[in-house]
Amino acid sequence: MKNRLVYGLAILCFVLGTGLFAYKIAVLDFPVAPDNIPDNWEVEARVTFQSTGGPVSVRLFTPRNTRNHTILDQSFVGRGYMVNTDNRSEGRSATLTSRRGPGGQQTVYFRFLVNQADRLLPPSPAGEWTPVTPTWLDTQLDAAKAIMAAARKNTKGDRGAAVEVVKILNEKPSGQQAAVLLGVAPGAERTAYVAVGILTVGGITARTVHGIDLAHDLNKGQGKGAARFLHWIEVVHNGHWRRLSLDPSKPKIPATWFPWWYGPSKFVHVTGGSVPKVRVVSRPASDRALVEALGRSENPNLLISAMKLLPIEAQQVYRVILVVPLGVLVLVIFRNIIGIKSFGTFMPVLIALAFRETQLLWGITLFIVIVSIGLAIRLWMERLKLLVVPRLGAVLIVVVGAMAGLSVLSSQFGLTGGLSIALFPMVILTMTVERMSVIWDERGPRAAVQQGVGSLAMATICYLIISNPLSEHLFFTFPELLLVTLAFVLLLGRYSGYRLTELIRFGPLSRAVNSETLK
Amino acid sequence: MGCLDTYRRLRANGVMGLNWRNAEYILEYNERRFYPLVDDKLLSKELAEKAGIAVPKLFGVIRYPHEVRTFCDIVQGHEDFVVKPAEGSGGDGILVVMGRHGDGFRLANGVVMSPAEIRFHINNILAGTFSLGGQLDKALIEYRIKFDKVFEKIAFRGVPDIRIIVFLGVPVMAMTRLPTEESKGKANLHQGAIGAGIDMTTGKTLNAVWHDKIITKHPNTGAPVRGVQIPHWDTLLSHAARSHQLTGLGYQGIDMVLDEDRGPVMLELNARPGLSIQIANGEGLGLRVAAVEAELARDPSAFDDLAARIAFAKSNCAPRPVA
Repeated sequence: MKNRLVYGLAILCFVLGTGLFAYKIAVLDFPVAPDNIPDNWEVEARVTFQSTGGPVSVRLFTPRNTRNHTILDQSFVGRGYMVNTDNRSEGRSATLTSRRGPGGQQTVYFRFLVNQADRLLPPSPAGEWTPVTPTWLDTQLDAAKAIMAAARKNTKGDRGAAVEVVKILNEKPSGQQAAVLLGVAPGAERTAYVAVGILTVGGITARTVHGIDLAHDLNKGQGKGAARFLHWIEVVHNGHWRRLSLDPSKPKIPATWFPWWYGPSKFVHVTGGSVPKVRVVSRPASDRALVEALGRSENPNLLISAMKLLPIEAQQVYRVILVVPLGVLVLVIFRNIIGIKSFGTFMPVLIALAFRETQLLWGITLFIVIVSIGLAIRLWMERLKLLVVPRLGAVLIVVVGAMAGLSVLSSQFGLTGGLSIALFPMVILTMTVERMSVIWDERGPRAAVQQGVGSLAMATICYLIISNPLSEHLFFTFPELLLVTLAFVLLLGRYSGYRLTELIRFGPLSRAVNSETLK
Repeated sequence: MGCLDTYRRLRANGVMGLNWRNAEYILEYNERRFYPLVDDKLLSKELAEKAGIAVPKLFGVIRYPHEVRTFCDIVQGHEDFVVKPAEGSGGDGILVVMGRHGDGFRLANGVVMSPAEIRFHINNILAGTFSLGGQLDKALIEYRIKFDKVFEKIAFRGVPDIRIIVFLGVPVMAMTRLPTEESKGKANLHQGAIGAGIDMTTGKTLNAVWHDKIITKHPNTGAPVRGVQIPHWDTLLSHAARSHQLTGLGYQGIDMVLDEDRGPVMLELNARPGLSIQIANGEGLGLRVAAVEAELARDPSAFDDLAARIAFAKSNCAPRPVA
């Protein structure tokens, strides 16, 4: 009876899961494997601000096709906003308006898919650009003219002069003339503005360019993976726009630097609300085929496109979360089919998740080091005869201390891998240390180390399975596979056969029938 | 291939695996709401006393830290006693006091503890140091078992106990666990104690297993461990057969010891008794349990009577002749 219900449920889950999976592949033409076209990028800008309660309008720049970048698809997400787009020389812009006067925190998303390719096309022709003359004081104008004259002295052509201007601004930012224009500690944006101003004063058509590095690291950097806006300039040379880097360490603008808008305007302008906060992320669009498949289907509904409806940042999170059930399935197999125990039921999956961030070798090393330090101190603490909760607290403090110490040490030696230790779940480490020390006391060091190594091996195998790009892609693109996983876990829940380790444990009993037992 | 072969033969011998025990017996016959009755030794002690099963006499219970100072009043007039956690497992946290030594207490292993040290130990018990999952616990102070002389030669410094698996009131398999030097007086197989199967019909020991290997002599005393008659076997069986009504758990283990004066005394019940008992008996539990199920299917009231259950155990749960 019980079994029939379990089998029924498992079959239902399995059929539903694989059915939807097969439908998406066969009918909707969803990609089974992730396509790795590094030239496609998904970009998302999130604008948040406080509405004052009246009508709100948000104007932001939307990118145009350039000779290296093609915008494939763009969309806005903002509840209660109407979108109007218009073209101006600084770039295409979109205005989102809401007349109803929404209150409180407002969030608007702008998303696009961009293809980046080296098309070897000629540079875009100049034109359709109205130079913006800077509103400078006389002293500043004089300084600009002086710099321009200095730049013209040794160079030929507009482009050469522009390069020289940038060089002067970079090399002597505190020089007499430059300081007047740049002010104290200028950023790239200020430098770009000043350089363009000087060139405009000197009769050269130039403009500032604002964009992002598409290939910015999603997992590192300030603001947890957000892209910074980058600034450079373009100068008209022989009737064409030429890019010019402001960063002496990057004389050539990398191909992944994507121009978004031009001129002195800010990226977003809000009326009827507070100063907006902008957060931009981009990630390689490994599922362009998926996006295309979604585009083809007549009316993509929630069931089919579920995960792709989320903001990119949330998608990034679910790419990780959705593979965890796969790790859990592996754990269940380890425990109930093979018979290997680990410290704590889900500990290996959680450690495997930490390995994703630290990379495997670093992860294993750091895990061993932290657990060894914790264990040594915990075993010594045994003689202090502490009560349970304070003892666990003390171990946690030791673990945190060891983590911090290791990070500082490894940064001293320039080992960046050691810094990622902060991503280890410290509570899991603490419980591992505690359980290991209990086993150490009760069954000896051998058993403790054995179980520790076993847990680590399970974590490693879990890591290899869940960090595989294919499993990540499959579970993200086809969340219905969760049902299939559930079906297997349900079935394993009623598996009453022997565990592999029991075949060894009860081995003597398998002989008792035929061979003689001791008399 | 070898694995599959072993697998089939184990199945044929009715050897119970953990998954089998959990899925078919513990989840099937043991309702979770009855678990506190076995997990809390104070509760199972009270129930056992009501059912006429002898238990070590309770001298006192310490439930809260402010009661710890009453410890000396509780043991007033008792030369020897045992302090144990109510929800402890595997014998952890048990202090066996053999007698007084000045102001202090002399333990079974010869160590002398001051009253303050014992009070600290009791505080640890209350904080959950020895309980499953670390939840708050109670400390029991009770009569110390003076174990029967029969075990003197085959138990090394400790109290040997008798574990009987009871299925729906029928005692189906039994073993005695004998402490060794290695197990430090504890009767836990994984800590190095010997497990010896018991013939359900006669109450004589069968094979003995030490570290999953069959032995004939006690590794420390050298005395033979096979063929030893367990005294009071019928009483042990009847205690075991009665334990089912005590808790309502269909599949459980009962741990008893033999006291010199009082005979079989129940120490604790276990809702998830281990499977090593099969190795000690050289036989699987599955066939015996299945026999009980078959008998019940034939006659649902077959085991209403205590005597019927004991009779069934003696005749149907005897060791199978070796081929």
